[in-house]
Amino acid sequence: MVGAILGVAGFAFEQAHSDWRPLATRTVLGWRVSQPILGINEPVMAGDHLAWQSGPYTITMDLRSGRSRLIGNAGDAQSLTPPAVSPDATLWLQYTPGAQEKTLIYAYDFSSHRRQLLLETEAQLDMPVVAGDTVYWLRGQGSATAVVGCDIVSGRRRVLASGSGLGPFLLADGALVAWSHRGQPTAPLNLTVLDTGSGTTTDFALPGQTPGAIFVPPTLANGALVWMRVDRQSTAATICTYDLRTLAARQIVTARALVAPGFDGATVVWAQPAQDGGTSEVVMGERLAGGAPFPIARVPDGVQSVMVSGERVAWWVGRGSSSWVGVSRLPR
Amino acid sequence: MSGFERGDDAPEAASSPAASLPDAPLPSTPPPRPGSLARHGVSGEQLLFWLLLELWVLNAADLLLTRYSLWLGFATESNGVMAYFLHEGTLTATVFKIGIVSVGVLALWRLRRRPTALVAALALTAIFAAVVAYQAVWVLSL
Repeated sequence: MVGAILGVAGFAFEQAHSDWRPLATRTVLGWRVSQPILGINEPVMAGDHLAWQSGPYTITMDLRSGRSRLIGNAGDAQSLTPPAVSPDATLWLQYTPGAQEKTLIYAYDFSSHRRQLLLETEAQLDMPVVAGDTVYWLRGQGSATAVVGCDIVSGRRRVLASGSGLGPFLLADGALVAWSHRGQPTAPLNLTVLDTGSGTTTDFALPGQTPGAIFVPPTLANGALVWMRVDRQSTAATICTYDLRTLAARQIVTARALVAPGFDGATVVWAQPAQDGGTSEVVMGERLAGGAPFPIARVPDGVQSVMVSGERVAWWVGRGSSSWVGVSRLPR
Repeated sequence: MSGFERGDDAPEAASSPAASLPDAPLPSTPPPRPGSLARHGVSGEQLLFWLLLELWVLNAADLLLTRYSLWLGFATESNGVMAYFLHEGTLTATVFKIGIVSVGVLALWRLRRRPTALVAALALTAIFAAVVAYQAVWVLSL
């Protein structure tokens, strides 16, 4: 009995002195999550889970219960990539410096609570993405780049494509995997979409490529792409969708100082400056099924990103220790 | 008889055939001290038996929880010897861990007449209970 009490007390002491635990407060329509001291970095949301990086930690939060879990502690690693997330799993890369420089790929399964070290390699890896329980990344070795897929359950890996000039975008959703490539640095950016179910590939150039345009990494969901293009000179930003089945492009919004869109296959969300000239911003949404853009929330200036998944929308505000994430229900 | 068994002469006499003879004098036993286990009807031997059983069960629980924690990917085995056997395989680790603790439990039971056996069993069970309780709460917190 004394031993059991000591064990439980030791666990409680350890938890009380941990610095990773976020501060999650329930709001009327969702959550407000902050991370005292370390701050929140690059949050992502899918299904019922929010995941983010905080200092050396990778953390997830169940948006139904508000329960958070520490799923990664990079310790003395040099850097981490922000996590990628699907409704089933989250994925991140960890770089270790020094003579034995290496990259580690971790995946965490939400249902089994299992974390797996999928790969430990000296090759250069980038752009981890996850679709269902399959993860993908770009592997660079010398001048060649490869798109690699890995099944989280079996650990089986396969190279989907290889060559020079692959990247910098790698996207995945359902059975579709898409990567960008360009033959020469000045050539237009092309996208290859692979249907892993049928094995068919489709190549096309991203529409709207003009000299001086910057492309924010697109989002792939439910067979459609959404991206933001910013004109370097005028700083005017345009958010577009592109249906991969019909190859139809559609412009959602054009304005200055837009925040890159979030997309879940049904709804596009973004943030834009409030029209009354104040310092606040407005999180907006538009359903691809039809209807006009609608306001979701008015938030303080400094929105870094917006996310949407099903009936939830989230926005990441601020930087460093003052950063926080708001989660709300999407208006019906 | 081994040196260990020699120390057990007096209690064994109580159950020997000679002791059961009607005319044989019963060995004199000191009255239980207030607060002692004997006063509560629990002999040191009985206590040792239950402690060793608990120790064996806790050891098995420790193995199961360690294996599960390793499978979850959040734990590493800090005991170098066990880390080696776990690396060799779950069956190998099970045989080693259950085997070595079973041998230890039997050795302590052989030494049951010695007060140090009870002290050792108490200390080991407390340590195992702390480790298992920590692991169980950790797994439940996931």
